[in-house]
Amino acid sequence: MEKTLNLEHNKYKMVSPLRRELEIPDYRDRDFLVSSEPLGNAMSVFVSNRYSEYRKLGFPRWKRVDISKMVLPPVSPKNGKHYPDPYVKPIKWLTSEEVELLDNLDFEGSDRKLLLLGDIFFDTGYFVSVPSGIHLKEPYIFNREEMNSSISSNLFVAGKGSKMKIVLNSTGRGKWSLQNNRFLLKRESSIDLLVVNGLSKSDFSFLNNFYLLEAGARLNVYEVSYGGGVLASYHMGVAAGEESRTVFEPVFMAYGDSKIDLQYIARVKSARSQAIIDGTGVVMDRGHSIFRGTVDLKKGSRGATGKEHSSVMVLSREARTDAIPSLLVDENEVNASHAATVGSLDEEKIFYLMSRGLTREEALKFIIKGTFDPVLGKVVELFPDHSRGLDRVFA
Amino acid sequence: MDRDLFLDSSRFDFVSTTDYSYISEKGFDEELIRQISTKKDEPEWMLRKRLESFEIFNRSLEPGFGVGTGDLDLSSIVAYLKPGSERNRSWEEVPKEIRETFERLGIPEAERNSLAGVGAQYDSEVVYQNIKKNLEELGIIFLDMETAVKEYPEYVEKYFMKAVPPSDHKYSALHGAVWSGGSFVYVPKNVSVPLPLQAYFRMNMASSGQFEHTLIIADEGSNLQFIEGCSAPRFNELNLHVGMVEIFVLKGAKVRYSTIQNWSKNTYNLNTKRAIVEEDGTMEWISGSLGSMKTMLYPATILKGRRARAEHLGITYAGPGQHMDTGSKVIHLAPETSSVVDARSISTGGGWAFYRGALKISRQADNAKSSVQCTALMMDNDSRSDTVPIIEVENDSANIGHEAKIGRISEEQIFYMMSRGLSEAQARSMIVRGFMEPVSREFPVEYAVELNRLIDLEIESSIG
Repeated sequence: MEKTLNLEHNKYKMVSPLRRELEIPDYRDRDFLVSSEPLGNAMSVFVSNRYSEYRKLGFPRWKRVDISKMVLPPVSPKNGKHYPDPYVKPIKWLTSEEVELLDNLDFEGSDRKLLLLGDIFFDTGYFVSVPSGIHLKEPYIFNREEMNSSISSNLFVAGKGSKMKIVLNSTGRGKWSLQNNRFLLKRESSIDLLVVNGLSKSDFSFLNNFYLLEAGARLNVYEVSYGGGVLASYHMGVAAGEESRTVFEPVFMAYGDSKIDLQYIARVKSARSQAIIDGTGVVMDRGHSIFRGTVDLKKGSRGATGKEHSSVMVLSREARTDAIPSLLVDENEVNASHAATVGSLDEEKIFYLMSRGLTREEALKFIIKGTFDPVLGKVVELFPDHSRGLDRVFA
Repeated sequence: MDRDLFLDSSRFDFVSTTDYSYISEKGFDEELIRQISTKKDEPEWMLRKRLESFEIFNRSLEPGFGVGTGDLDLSSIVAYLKPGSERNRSWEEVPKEIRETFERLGIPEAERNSLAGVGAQYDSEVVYQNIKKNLEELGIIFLDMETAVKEYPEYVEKYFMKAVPPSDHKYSALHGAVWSGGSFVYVPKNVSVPLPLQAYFRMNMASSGQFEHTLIIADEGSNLQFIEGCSAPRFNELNLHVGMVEIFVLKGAKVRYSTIQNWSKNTYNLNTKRAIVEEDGTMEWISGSLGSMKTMLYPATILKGRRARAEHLGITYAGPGQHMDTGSKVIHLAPETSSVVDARSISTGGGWAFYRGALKISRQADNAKSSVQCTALMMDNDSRSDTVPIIEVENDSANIGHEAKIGRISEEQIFYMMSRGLSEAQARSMIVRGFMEPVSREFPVEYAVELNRLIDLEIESSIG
């Protein structure tokens, strides 16, 4: 299992924070039976194994995000709806070799309990496997509102030299939703991924994504998060092959009473790979954002580049933002840096724009738009049909 | 040139034969606390504080972060060792073997040349404390903590363990229960202490613990520089240092607290330092953390008054067998407060340097400014270097910047310098000195030289 943090060096081990648990109603054995009906043999074994681990854990009591008020949705049987594409099949019919791959892409997630919940109780899940050398122009769209999915678990494999785009949209899913997504990028393959998390007030939304990159693979993740609920989004990219490139470019806007907790871990285990995390956000009203970016350069990452940057603007007196940029370096022949800035609205810029005839509100919108434009511009270019309205949300 | 660069480590690594008038049983219990209090002839209120702290200690868990303390067996630590010497104001009265120890460490010489006063602690007790007569006449108080508890209860009761309460963490509770030695400094209003005061701490016995408490009160408009040094010979058993420094910087005052920590490599250094700064006050922490096997130390400044300032400059060295978890903590509680953190680390020979930082801008801290910079040099590929700062901002007018870089010395740099006639070791130590310079230049010159020498020595031994 790929752990979020692995703080050991020679004979020394760092103390890990104590995992504290919440007392909230959980699924029971009866729910498990409902949810595991119908499943293929291989998946049945996988899910049962996970359930024995799941039962031993409680839900996490997090320091920065309170999820004690969440209520789990009723479980549903696995949805086997056909996705009209030759490379896609429902995940519940995975063969034993494919389940082995799912097992190999095991990780801790934002919390092990939540990850296991998604692996066991998913109502919808697909296995997308694009063969070697295939370049797909149109993206795969997983719109959870349209799929009526509260809990989903997907597996994506980009074959050698293939190219694909994916859109994971959870906007409007409401109340309580969770998704686990695993990605294997084989040699020289490339994935562009757009994740859209549009939250409504009182939503609890969880996302656990894991990416394994072979040599020369390219991964670009754009995550757009906005709204008023609670979001805990976790992404871990592992560069296992040489000269791969992982880029996380999130943008976020926390308003109302929202808590947006974003975690990006770029772990490099191979030579000359690149890992870049670059986040931009705005917090307003009583919103609270937490941005955790970790560049983790392991032994063997000789010649690697790891860069992390975050920039957050605080627009109201009651808003709050936390930045936790971590740089963990086990190899000395690397280029590793991080930078974080937290700032307020530049009154001089507002004054200048107002002197050119804009109202204060227009000037504010103009500045915010300018902050997000570099990333949203790329999103619009890559996903022209699926990014409509985002620039409106972000201004 | 080599002789200048590389210091003989025997200067620190020697054991003195000492007569002790009292050595406590190993481990910690209530009986020990009562004995310490009796031996010190303490007032009742201090014993009460100790027992309250011990109760908290018994209920405390290990910190949920930092270095692993699995091999630290508190039941094998001797908490209290009283050397067979009373406190003295002249070096001649200090017993010969202890005097020789401090002479080898250069303390009396430094006092003559560049200090306003010196306190020297040998294991659990201060054996020498002196301040220049003319400074005493200005009303500056510089005493060992035990004497201050008796002579200035109005200050000690008011401030002792108020910046760091025993409930802060497990080791602050332990400290509150068994503290012994340390200095008390009071600088009156508008008095500037012209030369630094210094405290030197020496541990001389295996499996012992040192728990000194330093309490500094800089009254309004005053100015003080305080220097702290520590060392111990190397033993096979673990030694434990759980010191505490509390500093109260009142309105418009300025305190600079400099430390060169050079505990031997069998020491657990779990130290707590915290300052509370009132309006227009300035606190500067200058730290050189070189020694110990494992360290957890994050000097903290609470900027409580308007326009209060903090500066944290630190250099951490993690050599073979060392796990150094160091950092800084700044809490902005008032408007227009500002802070600068410049943390540098060197890891070599398999050492682990971990920077842990916390910066908090509270809702009241309008127009606060802070800049945090971390730079790490990894001398080789067996070492490890990590940087984890936590930034929390609850205000919409703050201006916060953080930057970190981790890198190595390139072969081109070494090659260039070797082509100009330097040996590899000289080239490396010159680059390291340049890397440390922004921090080392803030120490008084004698200490900067000392810091450079210590680092040279460490680098020489780790290059082999």
